[in-house]
Amino acid sequence: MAGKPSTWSLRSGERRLLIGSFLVILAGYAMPLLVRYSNAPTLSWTDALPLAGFAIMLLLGHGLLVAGRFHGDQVLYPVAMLLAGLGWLAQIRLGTIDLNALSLSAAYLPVSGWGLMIGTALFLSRGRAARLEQLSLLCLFLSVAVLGAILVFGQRFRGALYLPGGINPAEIVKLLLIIFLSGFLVTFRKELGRTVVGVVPAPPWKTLLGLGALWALPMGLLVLQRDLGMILLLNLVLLALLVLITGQVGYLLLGLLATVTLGVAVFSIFPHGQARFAVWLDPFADPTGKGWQILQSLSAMYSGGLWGRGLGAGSPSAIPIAESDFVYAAWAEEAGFIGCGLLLLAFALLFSRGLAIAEREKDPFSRNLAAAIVLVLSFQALLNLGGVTKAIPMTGIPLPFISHGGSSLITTFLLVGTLLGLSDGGKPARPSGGNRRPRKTRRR
Amino acid sequence: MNWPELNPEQIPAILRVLHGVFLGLLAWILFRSWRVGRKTKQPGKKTGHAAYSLTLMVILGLLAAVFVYQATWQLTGFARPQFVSFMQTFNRRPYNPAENLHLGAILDRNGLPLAYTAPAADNRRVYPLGPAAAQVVGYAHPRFGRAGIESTEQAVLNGSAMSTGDARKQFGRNVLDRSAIHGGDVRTTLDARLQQAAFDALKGRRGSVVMLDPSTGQVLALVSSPSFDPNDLSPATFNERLQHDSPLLNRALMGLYPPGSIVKPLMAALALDQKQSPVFDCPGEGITAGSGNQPIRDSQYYAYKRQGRVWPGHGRIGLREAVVKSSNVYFAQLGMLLGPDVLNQAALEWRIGQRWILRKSSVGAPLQTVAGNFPALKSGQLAKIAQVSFGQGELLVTPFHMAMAMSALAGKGVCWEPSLLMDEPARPLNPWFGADSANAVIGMMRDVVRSGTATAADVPGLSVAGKTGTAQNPSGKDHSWFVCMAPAEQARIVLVVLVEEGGYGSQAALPVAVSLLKLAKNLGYFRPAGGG
Repeated sequence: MAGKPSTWSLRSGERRLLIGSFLVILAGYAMPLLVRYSNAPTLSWTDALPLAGFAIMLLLGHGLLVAGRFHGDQVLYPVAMLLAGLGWLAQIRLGTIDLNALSLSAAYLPVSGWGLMIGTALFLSRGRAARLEQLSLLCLFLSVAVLGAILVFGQRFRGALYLPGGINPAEIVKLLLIIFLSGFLVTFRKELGRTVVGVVPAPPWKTLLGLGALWALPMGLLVLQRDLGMILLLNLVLLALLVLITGQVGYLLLGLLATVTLGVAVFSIFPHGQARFAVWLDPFADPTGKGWQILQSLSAMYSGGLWGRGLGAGSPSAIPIAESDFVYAAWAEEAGFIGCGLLLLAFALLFSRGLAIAEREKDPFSRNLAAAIVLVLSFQALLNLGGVTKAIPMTGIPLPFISHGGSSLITTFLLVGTLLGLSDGGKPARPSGGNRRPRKTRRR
Repeated sequence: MNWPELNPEQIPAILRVLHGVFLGLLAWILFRSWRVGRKTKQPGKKTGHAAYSLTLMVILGLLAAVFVYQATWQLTGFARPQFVSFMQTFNRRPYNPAENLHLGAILDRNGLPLAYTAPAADNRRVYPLGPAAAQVVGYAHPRFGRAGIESTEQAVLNGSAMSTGDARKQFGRNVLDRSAIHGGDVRTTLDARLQQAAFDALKGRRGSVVMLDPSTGQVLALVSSPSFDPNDLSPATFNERLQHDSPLLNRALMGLYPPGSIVKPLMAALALDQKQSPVFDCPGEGITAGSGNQPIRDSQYYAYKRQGRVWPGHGRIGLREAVVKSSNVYFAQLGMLLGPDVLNQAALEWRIGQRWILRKSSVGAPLQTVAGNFPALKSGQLAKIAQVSFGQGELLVTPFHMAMAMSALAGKGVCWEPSLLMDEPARPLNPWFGADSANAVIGMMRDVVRSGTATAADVPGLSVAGKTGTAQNPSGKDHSWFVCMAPAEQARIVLVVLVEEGGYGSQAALPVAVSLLKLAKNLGYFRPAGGG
C-alpha cells in the first residue's frame, strides 16, 4: 500500500471498538430477554430485530464516516454509541421501550438522533465547524425565539413546559447558546481577561454589560418557564468557560457570589426549589411523601450492592418515574456498583476525548465550542448523578444518553456530532487520522 | 416453534454468567477505547493549554467524589440506621436486602443475651429480659428508631465498625455480600440475673436500682421501674397521655431526687478530710439555723410526737454516733461549722453539677445522666447550708450519682469512670476523699447495719456497710433510699436503691437491697479473687 492510506484502513480502530460495543450491548440485551423468557418461554425472530437494527446503525454510521473521508476522532463515535446503547438497554429494562410491542416509533428517536449525529459530524468536518462563529448571534436569537415559542404554545407536564407532541425544544437551546458563548468569548477574550490588582476580573463595563444583556434574554425566558435546572446548567457552563478561556480564576469567586445571591433570590421565588433543598437535607423527615423518590432511589442502589442484580432482575419500578431523572438508580440496582463505575468511566472517556479535541484545535472558536460541549455534557452528568445519589439537591436534569426523553437524547447526539465534526479540523498536510493501519503497513 | 423449557432454578445462574460477561465486556471495551484514544495521533498539535487537562481533572475528580458518596449508600448503606429502617418499613421490592441485615447481639457480662435478632425471616429484635432492662438496653425498631445501648453501639451492631480485625473482616464481607449482613456482638458489664432480680424486687413500684463494681466502675445493674416491654412497642408506648408514671424515663440516670440522709456518709468523710470530728449537742426540740427559720429536728421528734410523747434528743454526740443514728441536727451544725466554701468546693469535686457519661457514641447521642443540682452557698445563708448538709433543700441528685459517690467511698476515696462495656479499660478519677477518711466512714456505715437504722441488712457472712435515707419530698410521701457496699473491708459491690414515695429507707428500699445482696452472694460475687 503505497501513498496515502485509505480512510477505511485509517478508521480500523473505530471499527474494532464498534464491534466491541456491539458485543457489550448483545450481552446486555440477552439478560432482560432471559428474564422475560423465564416468565413466558417464547421467543420470536422479531426479538432480534432491535439488536440487528443497532448493529446496522453502528456499521452504517461507520460506513458513512469512511465514505465521507472523515478523519476525525476514532473513539468518540464508538463511545457515544456504547453510551446510547446502554441507555437503550436501560429503557428496554424500564419498559419505556416495550419489546413485546415494538413499533417504529420506538426506533424513530434513536435513529433520528444517530442520523443527526453522523450528519452533523460530516457537515461540520474539514474545519467547517469554525464557520459557525459567524452564526453565533443568530444562534442567540434562535434560542430566544425557541424559548418564546415554548412559553406561548407550551403545556405543563410534571413541572416543565412541552410543545404539543411532548417535544421540549428547550433542550436544543443548550447547543445554540454555547455556540453564541463560544463566539462572543472569542471576540472579547482579551477584555474579559483583564484584572485589577490580584485576581479580581475587571473587564470594561461595555463588554460585561453587553454579555449580561444578551445573556439575560434567554435566561429571563427560562426563569419564566421555571426551568431551574437548565438555568443552573447554562450558568455553570458560562462560568467554567469564562475561567477556561480567560484563564482568570477570579471569575469563580464572582460566580460563587452570584450563585449565593441569585440562589437566595430564586429560592425565595420558587417554592419547589426550597422543597427540593429540604428533601436533600433530610429525606427521612417525610419518608413516604417528599422523600419517597430519593429514598427509593437509594434503596435501589443498596439493593444492587457491588455486583448488581443483573439487567432485568431488579425492581426499578419501585422508584417513581425511574426512566427519566432516576435512571441511574435503576442502573445501579441492576448493574451494581461496578456497573456504575464502568458507566462513569464511559462518560469520563467521552469527556477526555472531547477535551483532547479542544486542546488540539487551532481555531479559537472551535476550541471554545469543543470545550463548551464537554462542559455541558459533564455538568449535566454531574448534576444528575449528584442528585440521584443525594450528594446534591435534585435539579431535574437528565443524564446524557441514558435518561428517557426524546429532545434530550437528540440534543446529546447533536452535541457529540458537533464534537466529532470539530475533531476533523480539516486540511491537514497528510490525513493522519490514526496509527491503526493494517499490520502489514506498519511492518514494512 | 417449540422452545426448550428452562428450569427456573437455573435462571439465576445463567443470569449471573451473562451479567459477568456483560460487565467484563464493558470493562474490556472501555480499556480498548482508552488505548485506541492514546495511540491515535490526532490532527493538529497540542496547543499547550494546561487548562484543558486541569478541567478534565476537575470533572473526573467531581465524578469520583459523587461515586464515593454513592458507595456510602450502595455498599455501606447498612451503616445508616435511618436508611435501613426505611428499607425495612417501606420496601416495594420482592428482593429486599435490608431484610438480611442481622444486628449483632447485646450480651451481659456472662454472655447471656440482653437483645438479639430472631433467626426467623422477619428479623425481629428479641429482648429476653423484656421490661427489666428496657431503659438501659433500649430498643432498635424500624419505626421507632433506637435508644439505649442499641443506639450508642449501633456502629458495631450494624456491622459497620472497623475497630478490630474481626470487625474489619466482617465489614468487608458485608460490603461484598448483600445476602447476609451481620453486625458484631456487644458485651456489656451488666449481669442479666441481677438486673432481672432488681427489677422484680421493685415489684412495679416507682424506683431505681444501681449496682456497680467499685474497683472498676463497671455497671452491674441499672434498673428503672415502671418500665415498658421493648418486645412489644407500639405508638401507645410513646404516648405520654396513655402511660402512667413515665415508663420510658430511665430514673437511674434521669431522675433527680433529694438524697436525704444518704448524703451523711459523704459529709462525714468531708469533715474527716478537714480534720474535723466535733461533738455537738443535739437537743430534742432541734436547732434553729439563722433566726426566723423553721427549727431543724431529728426524725424521732415527729415519731415521738405522733405517739403523744416528747423526744428527749440525742444529747451530745460525735461524728460516728451521728452517722449511726442519722441525726439531722448534728449534720446541720457540722455543715455550718465547715462553712459554705468547703461545701461548695466539695460539690465541685463530687461532680454534683455534672453529667455522668456512661457511654459515648460515634453516631448518636451518648448514654448519660442529667446533672444534679447543688445550690451555690454563700456565707450567712445558714438555713440553706444546714438543709443541704443533711441532704435536703435544693440539693438534688440522680441514683446513679449516689452509686458513684458510694463507690468513691468503697474505693478508698477513688471512684472509677463508669463503664457499660466489657472491653473498656478501667480509668480512675481524681480522689474525692482521703483513704483514711473513707475507711473510717465505711466503719461507721458498717455500724449502721450492725446496730443502727439498717440492722435488717446485716446479711450473715457478708459484712454489709450501708445507710438508709428518708428524703422529704415536697410533692408527696418521703422517698425511700438505701445505699450499701459489701464486704466493708474490700467492697466488691456498691448498691443504691431508691423507691419513690416509699416512706422510710429501712421499709421500702432496704429489703430490695437485701434480696440483691443475697443473690449476688449466691452468684459468687463475694468469693475471694481467684477463688472462682
